[in-house]
Amino acid sequence: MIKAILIFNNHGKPRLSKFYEHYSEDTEQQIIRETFHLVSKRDENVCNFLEGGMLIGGSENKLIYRHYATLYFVFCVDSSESELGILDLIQVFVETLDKCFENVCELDLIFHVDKVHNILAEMVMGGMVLETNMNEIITHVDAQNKMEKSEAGIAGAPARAVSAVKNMNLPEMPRNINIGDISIKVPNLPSFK
Amino acid sequence: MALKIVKGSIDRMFDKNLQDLAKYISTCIDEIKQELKQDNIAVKANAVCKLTYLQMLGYDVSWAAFNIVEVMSSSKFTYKRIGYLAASQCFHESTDVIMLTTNQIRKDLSSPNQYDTGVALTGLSCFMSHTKPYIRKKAVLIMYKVFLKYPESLRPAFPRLKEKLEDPDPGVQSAAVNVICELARRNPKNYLSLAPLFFKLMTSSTNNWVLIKIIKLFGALTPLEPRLGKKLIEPLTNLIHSTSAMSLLYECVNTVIAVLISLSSGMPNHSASIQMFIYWSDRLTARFLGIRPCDCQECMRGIIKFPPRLSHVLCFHNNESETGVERFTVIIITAFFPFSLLSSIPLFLLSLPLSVSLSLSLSLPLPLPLPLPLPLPLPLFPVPQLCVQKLRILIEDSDQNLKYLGLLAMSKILKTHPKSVQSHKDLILQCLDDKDESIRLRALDLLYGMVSKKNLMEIVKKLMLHVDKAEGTTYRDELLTKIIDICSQSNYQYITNFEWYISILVELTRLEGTRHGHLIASQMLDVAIRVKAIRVFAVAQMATLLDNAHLLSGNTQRNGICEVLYAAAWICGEFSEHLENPMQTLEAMLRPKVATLPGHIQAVYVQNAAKLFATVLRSQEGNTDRTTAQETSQLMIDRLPLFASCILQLVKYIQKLRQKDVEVADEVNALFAGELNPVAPKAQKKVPVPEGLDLDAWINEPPSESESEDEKPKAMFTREETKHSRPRHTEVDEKELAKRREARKQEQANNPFYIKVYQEAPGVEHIPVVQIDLSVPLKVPGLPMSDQMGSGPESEEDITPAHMVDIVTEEMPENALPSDDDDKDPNDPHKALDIDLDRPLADNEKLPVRSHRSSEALKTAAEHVEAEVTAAPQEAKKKRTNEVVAPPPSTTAEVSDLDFWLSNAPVSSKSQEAAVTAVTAPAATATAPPATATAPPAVPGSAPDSEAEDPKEAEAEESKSSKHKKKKQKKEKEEKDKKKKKKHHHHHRHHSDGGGAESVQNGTVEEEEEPLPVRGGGVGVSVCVGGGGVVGVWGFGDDGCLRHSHHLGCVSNGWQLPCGVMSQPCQKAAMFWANQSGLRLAFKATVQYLYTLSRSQNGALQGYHVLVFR
Repeated sequence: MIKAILIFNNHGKPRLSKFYEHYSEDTEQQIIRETFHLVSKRDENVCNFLEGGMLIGGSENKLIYRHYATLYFVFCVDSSESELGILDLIQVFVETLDKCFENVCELDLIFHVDKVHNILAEMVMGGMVLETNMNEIITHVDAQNKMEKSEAGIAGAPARAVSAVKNMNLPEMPRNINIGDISIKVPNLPSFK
Repeated sequence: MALKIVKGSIDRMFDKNLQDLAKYISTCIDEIKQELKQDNIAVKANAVCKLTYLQMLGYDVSWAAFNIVEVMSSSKFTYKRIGYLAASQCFHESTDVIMLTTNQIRKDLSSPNQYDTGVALTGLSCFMSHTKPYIRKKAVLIMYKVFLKYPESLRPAFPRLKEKLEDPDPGVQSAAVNVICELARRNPKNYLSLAPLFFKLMTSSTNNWVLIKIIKLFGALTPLEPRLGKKLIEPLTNLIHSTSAMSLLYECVNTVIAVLISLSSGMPNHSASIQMFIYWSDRLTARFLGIRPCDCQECMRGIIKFPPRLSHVLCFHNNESETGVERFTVIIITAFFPFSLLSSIPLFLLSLPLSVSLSLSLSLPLPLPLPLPLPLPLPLFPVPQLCVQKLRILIEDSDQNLKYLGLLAMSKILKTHPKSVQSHKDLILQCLDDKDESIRLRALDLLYGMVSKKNLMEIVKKLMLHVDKAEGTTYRDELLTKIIDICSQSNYQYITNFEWYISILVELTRLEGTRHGHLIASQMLDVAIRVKAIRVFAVAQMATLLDNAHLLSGNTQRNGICEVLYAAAWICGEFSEHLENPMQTLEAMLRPKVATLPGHIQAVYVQNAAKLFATVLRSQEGNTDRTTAQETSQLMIDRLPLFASCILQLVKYIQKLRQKDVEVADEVNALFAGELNPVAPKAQKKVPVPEGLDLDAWINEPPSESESEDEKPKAMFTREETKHSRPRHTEVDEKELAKRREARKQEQANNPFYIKVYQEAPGVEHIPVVQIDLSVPLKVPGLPMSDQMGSGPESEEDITPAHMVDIVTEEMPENALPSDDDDKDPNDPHKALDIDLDRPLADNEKLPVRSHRSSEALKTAAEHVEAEVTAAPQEAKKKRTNEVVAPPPSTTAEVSDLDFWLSNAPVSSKSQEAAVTAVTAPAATATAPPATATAPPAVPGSAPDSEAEDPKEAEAEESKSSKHKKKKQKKEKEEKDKKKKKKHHHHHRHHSDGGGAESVQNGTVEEEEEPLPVRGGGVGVSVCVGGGGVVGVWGFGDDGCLRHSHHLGCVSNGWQLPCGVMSQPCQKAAMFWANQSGLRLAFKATVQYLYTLSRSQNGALQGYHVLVFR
């Protein structure tokens, strides 16, 4: 079973956290910090597996992660999951994000954290893998987005305004902050059919 | 305005200089609170969305729970989804609005929109037959959570879950596989009966995730059922050949290893598994190395076509002068070490009579492969060893992930076959130097299982070097615990020299900032107490440690290492008779610095200072010069006030007595008399509670209800009363208490259940302790160096340990129960899920059946038939032999089904052919002795229902061809004719009693016994289901072929026809049975099939009848 899915950037700022077991907010933050410390100190060319931190079950659980540009994608899983299988799953996840956001970057995850959650919910539910087929995932995500759009009549105006304002100001962002190469490069890796 | 804030908040979050983030967010939250108060649902939803983000950043948003529910209840999907997301992120069991939430979920579950439902779905098993696969998929997954929370639901829901394994939608199938694998992982034995189903899935599914899950499950199942392994060969090999996904490949290899291990440990005859292994291992290696094995006929017999860069390998195939064995070996060699061919071959040459000129053949051009016989006359290596060889390749790979996984897989082999892993110590030690910490940790795990008496010192020495080198404290701590684990495992089994071990422990205390001080301390105590011969040495070491305590307790509060002082003080005090200079140690223990140590250590210091004091007194007893004793007392009196202990009074009193020249040493020593023996862990727990002992019963009269409730507040103000009553009570009992004490002692003496701890105290000498031969002088000045101790391990390795030390075993109460149940965590939710799923459902467990379900049930049933179809040909043969030799067993249908499935040779006839040709092929090359030929890999393991069957006999029968068969069939027919009338009678009886599940079972057994009646030129079979109708009618010819099938509109014996949904599969099944297996089998199988169907459908089919007519 998957215990938690964490995405954080190179500085340890959480970009998405999904725990499939209940922890208090404090513990969740500690887990994120601990995981970041464990993962970030590893070199680029070492293996993608390590034992979980003390807070999330210790050596019973494994952390399986991939590092894309500025983001770490970390899956915390127990012994029932296949290590390489999860690596492929991360790849599917990132590729799906890439398709849904068109060249996904860290900012997408910040501004559309709900969308990322929705995509993730189509892949993993309650700690178990729901779907690994990317087309299937995208079909359902798109269908739901379409529904949202059709619903967005007059009542939806404020929400649309929010995103409009957000997008309007987006180009300014890189001026203030030095994000570097933010877009996640999705390498071609073998994954699920 | 709010929008600006949103934007601004994100702007500022990127600003690293922002100091007042917390303050800023609190204003943000205020804004959100304002927004939540507005009526506009869009604004509210937006606020909730923001809260979700804040929750991720670690802010408690539970105060907004009600608003979240509000948003969840919005009719718009857009907002609903936001609400559900927020709820899933921050709600938990104890959230107070959980009732509202469940209601909302219930409402949304019945929504007409699939996405509404999907987003709300938290799982109700009644939803599992939803028409939309999207919903079914989610519902199936959620079942697991429901099972965890409510284990009773597993049994009723399981049949439906099982159905979903055969769902037409791959997503649903995958979800069901996920759930069942998760369930089965904890209690695999309950799911053995699903093996055929999973097997079918494994051969049909193309979803890699599903395949991985299934293969992992099979890996867990094979140790329970060795026969399963043989079935897996074919599909696994196919997968290994065909897959492009490394993840799937690796899991295949892992399961292959599990299979091979189970085979090698479960089968007396290794040769079959060896052949299998060699056949496989080449494929595996080839795949890992990126070599494409070819698909030609020869490949089936163990030859791999190598790509051009390895073409030199193939030259061996063309060398006809070589015998099969040698050629085969060369393939193995090259498969093992393709890139380091020359350097590695000597290793193999040692074990082979290989006279191949390598250099010559290397220059030969690429030839065509020759057929090679599969069976080898002798196994070259034991199977696990070969597995390890294969893994070595992985570990030596440059890909760090493969390296890690190789080590991981190796640790699995280690558990069962430590010997075969031990030979790769070099590689493992090499991995300790890896830059990757994960890999180092895995290597450490492996080392644990690899130590022996011979190599322990060497390995620990290496580890100590790593301890010095390690930078991170976590890794160093890990090393430390591993060293201690390795040394102390199985009761110090591998330690030959305890002095060395004590030195190692002392050396470890020099680690700064470790949090494992208590671990070292407990080891010191354990060794000193249990290894009597080591005490002199240990005490000396501990005294030095105490003397140098200032080195350890630099930063006492944060430094865990000072824990060892606890052990040191205790050992010095308890075994003070071995101390060379007790005065000095006493002085060390009473230094002012001690006051900075943690309280529990100070306490031990004081107590053991008193013990040392007693020792000093005794040693000075006969001495006329009293200055030493005087000094000691004075020291105690001077320093003890530091601790505020009652020992001070004792010392003062002793000093007074001594001034009066009273001999007190014996009395003081008596305070600490008696040997303290180690007690086994859980000893207390394992003492059975004596009969009649009720710990909850009142010893005295229970206080009356009124007293406890009403008079308590009163008592607070009338203390006088209570004060009076208490002493009075005890006064009365004073004498009686003494009496009772006596009586109790008496009873304890007689009671076998009472642990007599002190009984053995005087007789400790009887514990066999071999004295250390101290012919070798010990060097113990200052802190010892383990390097010195371990110096020249080469010389020590070969000698049987000189320092043989028997270990005092831990004390256990005589009556201890041998149970080890307490190892299991009682809180483990999976324990409750350990439920026998094969038992038929009781009436009250059945789920309500919804009308539209039946059609689906029937559909899945159809697939079920097909699953069994594959097993048919073998059954035909088996039954034939069975009829002659032994009567069929009366096991339950499920079990025999599984046995039957398992006892079959690999399904595909292709592989069988291969095996047969493999057996016959050696005859041509004449290398394999006939002994191996009789045990080809494909011969079924003896199934319980075919014990009487001898493989040879079976083969003989096979070879005697159809002549024999015909004879038997004839004989059967005669029998059938005889019993025909009786048969009819039976059926009518079943007919009339309406067909409950009970009669079904009886029916099955009977049918097996009875041959099928035949009249004239054919026979008809009709099957009726439930209280209702005929499902199908089939006519069979004498030869067993289907002559007529009628599944609709045919009424027999007045039974009504149902809608006919089952007709197609049933007809298929009948046709199959008829064609493949002969008439009788068709009949029996149909019956059996319907029986299982009737059980798995929760009463959808409450019974069945089989009518036989013309």
